[in-house]
Amino acid sequence: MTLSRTNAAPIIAQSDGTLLLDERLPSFEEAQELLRAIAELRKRPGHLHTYRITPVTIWNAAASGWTAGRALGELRALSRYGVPGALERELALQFARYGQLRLGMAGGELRLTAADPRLLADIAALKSVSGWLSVGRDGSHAVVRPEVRGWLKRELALAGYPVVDEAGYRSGQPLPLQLRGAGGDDAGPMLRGYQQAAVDALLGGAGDTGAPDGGASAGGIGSAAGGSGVVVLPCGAGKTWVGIGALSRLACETLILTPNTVSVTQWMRELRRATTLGDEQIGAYTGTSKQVRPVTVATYQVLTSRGGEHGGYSHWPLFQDRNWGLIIYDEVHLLPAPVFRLTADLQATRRLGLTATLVREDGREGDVFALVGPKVYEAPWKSLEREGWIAEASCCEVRVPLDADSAARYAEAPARARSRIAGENPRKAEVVRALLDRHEGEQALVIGQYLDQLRRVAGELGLPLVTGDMPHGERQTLFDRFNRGEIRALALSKVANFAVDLPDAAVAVQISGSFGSRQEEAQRLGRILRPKRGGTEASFYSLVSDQTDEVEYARRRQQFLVQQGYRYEVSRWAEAGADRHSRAAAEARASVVSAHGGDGP
Amino acid sequence: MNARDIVRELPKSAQAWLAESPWTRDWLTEERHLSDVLADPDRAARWAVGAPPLARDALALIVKRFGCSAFAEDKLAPEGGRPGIGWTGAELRLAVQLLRRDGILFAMSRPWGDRLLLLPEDMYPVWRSLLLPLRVDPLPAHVWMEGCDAAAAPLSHELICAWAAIRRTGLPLKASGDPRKREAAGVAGAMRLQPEEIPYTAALPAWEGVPPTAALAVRLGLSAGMLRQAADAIVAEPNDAAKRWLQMPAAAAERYLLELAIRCLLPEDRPGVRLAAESLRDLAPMRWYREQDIIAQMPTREAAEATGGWIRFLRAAGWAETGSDADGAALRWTMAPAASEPGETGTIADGGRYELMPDLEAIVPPEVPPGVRWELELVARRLSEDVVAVYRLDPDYCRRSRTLGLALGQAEAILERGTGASVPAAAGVALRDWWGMDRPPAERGAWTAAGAGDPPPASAAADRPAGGGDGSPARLARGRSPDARRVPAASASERYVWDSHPPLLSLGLYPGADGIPPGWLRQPALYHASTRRELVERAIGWRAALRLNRSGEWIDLIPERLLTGGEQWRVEGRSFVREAASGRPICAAGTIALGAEEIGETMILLPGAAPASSERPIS
Repeated sequence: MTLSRTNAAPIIAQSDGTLLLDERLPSFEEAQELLRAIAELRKRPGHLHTYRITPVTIWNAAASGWTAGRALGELRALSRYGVPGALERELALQFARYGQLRLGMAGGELRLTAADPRLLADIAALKSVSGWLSVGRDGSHAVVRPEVRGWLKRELALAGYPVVDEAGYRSGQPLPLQLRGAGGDDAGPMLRGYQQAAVDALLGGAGDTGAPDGGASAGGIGSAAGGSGVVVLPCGAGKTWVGIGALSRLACETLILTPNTVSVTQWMRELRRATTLGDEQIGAYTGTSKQVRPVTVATYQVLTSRGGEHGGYSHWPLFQDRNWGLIIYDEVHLLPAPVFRLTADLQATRRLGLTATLVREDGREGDVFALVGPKVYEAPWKSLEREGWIAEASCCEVRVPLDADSAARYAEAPARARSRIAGENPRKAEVVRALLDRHEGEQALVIGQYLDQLRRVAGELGLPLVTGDMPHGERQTLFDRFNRGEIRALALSKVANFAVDLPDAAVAVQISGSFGSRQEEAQRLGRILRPKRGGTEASFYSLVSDQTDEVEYARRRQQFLVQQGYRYEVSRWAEAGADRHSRAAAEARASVVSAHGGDGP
Repeated sequence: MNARDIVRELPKSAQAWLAESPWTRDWLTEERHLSDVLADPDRAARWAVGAPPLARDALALIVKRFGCSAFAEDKLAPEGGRPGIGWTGAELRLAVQLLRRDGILFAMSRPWGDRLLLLPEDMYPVWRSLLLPLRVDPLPAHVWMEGCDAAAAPLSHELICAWAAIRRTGLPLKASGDPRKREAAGVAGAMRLQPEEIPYTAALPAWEGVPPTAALAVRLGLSAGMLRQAADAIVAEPNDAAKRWLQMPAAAAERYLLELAIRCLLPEDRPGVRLAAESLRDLAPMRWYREQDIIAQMPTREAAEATGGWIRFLRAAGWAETGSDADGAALRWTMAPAASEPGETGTIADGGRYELMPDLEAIVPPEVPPGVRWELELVARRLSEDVVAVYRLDPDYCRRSRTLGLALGQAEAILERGTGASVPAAAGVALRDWWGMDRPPAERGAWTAAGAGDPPPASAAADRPAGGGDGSPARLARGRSPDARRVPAASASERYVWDSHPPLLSLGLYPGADGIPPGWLRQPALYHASTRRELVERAIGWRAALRLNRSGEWIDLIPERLLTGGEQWRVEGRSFVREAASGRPICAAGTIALGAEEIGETMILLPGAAPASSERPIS
């Protein structure tokens, strides 16, 4: 309630583990350090940042050497309203639980040991894991079937019992390689600071290769996660480089899974550019190519394709074909369910998940944590923007009125059909034209959900169109021409939501999207976040049909980015001449006017 | 009924003699009227220190036994003649007169002749705290409970949500007077309080099919003046008192609700329950106390038995945390339950504001006054409630408020008042979308500034006047109005007549005392056996003590009964000595019986009658 208020204390601690941090107060940085250690950042939409303490964050803190007393003491000192009793209790409980259970190899067996033999008995009695354990006669340890290592850890974590996994990982087939220097020579590592920090968070401190016999326990969070985990970096921040950094640190054969063939190509190009690996050591495993090489880049799609109507997953042997020491899951938020299941069986292999948006619209973030690993590193978008690692971006939602015909159809349509009518609003084409005029000289992407709409817009504006139907080679050709500056603007379907590397794109115009998908919005913004020459700002426009359901969908889509600190300016499309004060009205046939200055025509 | 209300209803003649009380007259000034003085806790504190022990003890007994319920004077007397607190019945009778004289206790008569005594409701907690303080040591500061339960939201937050639900949809009444189930369920659904967390549901209106949580919200809403019964619905229309409450700092508002809950939720016929609730308010905030220590120190057994139930409610109401460890259960207040804390803040001018974030979420800190939440509920939906509450601007809420007449400008003004800043761009855009999307009817702008964001009534019926006016229309409870259960109610003067006679501080207090030989009351003397018997019978009738000599030994005796057998008689009673400092009788554990022939010199110890009684022999 209102007692013990310390006005200058920047943290508001809630009994459910939510912590609000006020960046305006003097102890902000001290508090931020504390929360980084014991909690995870959920959002930072304004000056109040939201963190969350969970059992996993506490276990990670414990693995890094924190104690309950220290965490609670610092939290009390920095909390505006004190620390609720329930949170105090949770902190003490979870700190105490860490380290109670350990998984290790002894006598050629995988063994689970407990600090207190009674705990082991309790664990063995748990229905969810009892079939996987065999408690020794003296009760000091339980023998675990090696193939359930991942499932056991997952189930015990769900039951609130973290397991310190000291059984190690298979090191995989050694693969000597080095990172090339920034200039393409062999001068040494070229990872940026945050990329290096992400690799360290995953694998432990520099120089620790995480040897199979327990080396993985070194390195703070890495030990809690068992050398596996998820790294969250904004689009354009170079997640690929984190993967390559981990690969070069471990120097082992590696399987890289990606969402599509464009991404496969880009990974292979980056591997060639950034490492000393030769072409013969890098393979593509896709629908058209089945190269299994020391570093193999595959698509999720090919892995989940079945052989015939009732066939199994014919490409799963890829996981066993070689002695992989590391599996990288690119865009891990897209990981399909079958790959989750397979991943559970691969706990002896290190896993690295990479994503910009650890938001799954299907709500399966928990499975990513349990089977790939916990989030081990995250760099806030705006922090990297401030440091110049990603481009500054202005976001603008442009409200476009429906034309008379569309408005009539919209009014009569059933609810389920309305969003498409709104999304395909023909008047969006003239807005795209005006925006391309406004950003003359800048390279632009026009991204949409509906192919008919994209074809129409591309046709009207004379833009090359890239869709999923386009052969990969053609697609790549267009991308290469765009990157060389031969094409100024491209129209893209949702196949370009991810992993399209068009570093010079500075303008993105989203003409339609998938309902309220937050991650799609973020990924599309990500297409233009590569830092620009001369520090030019990137511009992201989302065209929304005014007075339709699309307005609320847009608000939901923007949520993730708003929570990352982005601001949307909302403007209204006005026909030429309707608003004499509109700057754009003088520049083009049509204009965009501020919703705040005057609400439309 | 409060002291001020009682004074207002008293005839001038009674006000005149009250003003002459030695404990009153010095406190009266031109600015401080009688009602101010009688309701003054400082004056009460002085009285509690300096008043005669007899009066203090009698008042403590009243607080303990009756609380602020009306009671007949004979119920105060020692049961079966046995002294409850040492003082004789005659002394207690005098004490009642002293308490009346000092404006602490008031007497009233009912039309059918009952005479009842009443402690003003607002002074009950004051006297309880002064005379029966709960003395329990807190646990060391570093102790925290391993099994600490998650904190619940303060009750005001829950009630604001429930009342806001009534504001949005109204709470229509059926012909039977019961609220309609669907809307009542909506009210209950707006709260997180669970039915099993509400103590003594018998105190709530017995409405068929209405969840107890909704009944609680309505009960407290009517009492607080946030709700009003119209002809066919309960509507949310804060009256002046409720508007004052809405503007209170959060802590004070919560404390007000605590007092209201004690008054409204606890059964009137079980004063021990209320005694437990009040006693718990003596515990220091934010310190853990062992529950078994608290129970052991409760003033009565009934209070001790009721303690656990009330603690559960305190936890559910978000006013206390509970927990347990190996040594047992414990609790700590998370609010200041008794008096204002120096650090209490929360008026809007004092920074009791919330933050509206660009993602349309409002972070509402605990010090925000209830009125700010009340307004915010017009445009935002509560997402979570903990130390701070998180609200989110909500299109459905906004559209509903708009249909009730809330204009866009008013919605923006609500947010600007609540945040102390201009509306963030994203929120402004959202509001404009929600106000413009459905082409609303012309914005009526009908909400008055005085309503501080109160929308027009949800039902046209709200415009019709309701009975009662005190939030307790009879129809709500099918003839058992929630507030009418309390006596005297606001209109009590129709049903009760305040006793305006001055207190009787003479022998006239004891029927027939004026007609007996004065010597019976002044000094012990030898009397004929039949006269001795009359003395004994008189003493029993007045519940007075006797001083008598048995074989040269002086005995003070509280006679309880006269045992007769033919010509012989014996008196059975309890001997006592008086505490040197206070004069309080200390009675023997067992009774003694004296035959007529054993009794020598005798006198009746009638309080106020015999100055010589202070020259008592000490046995």
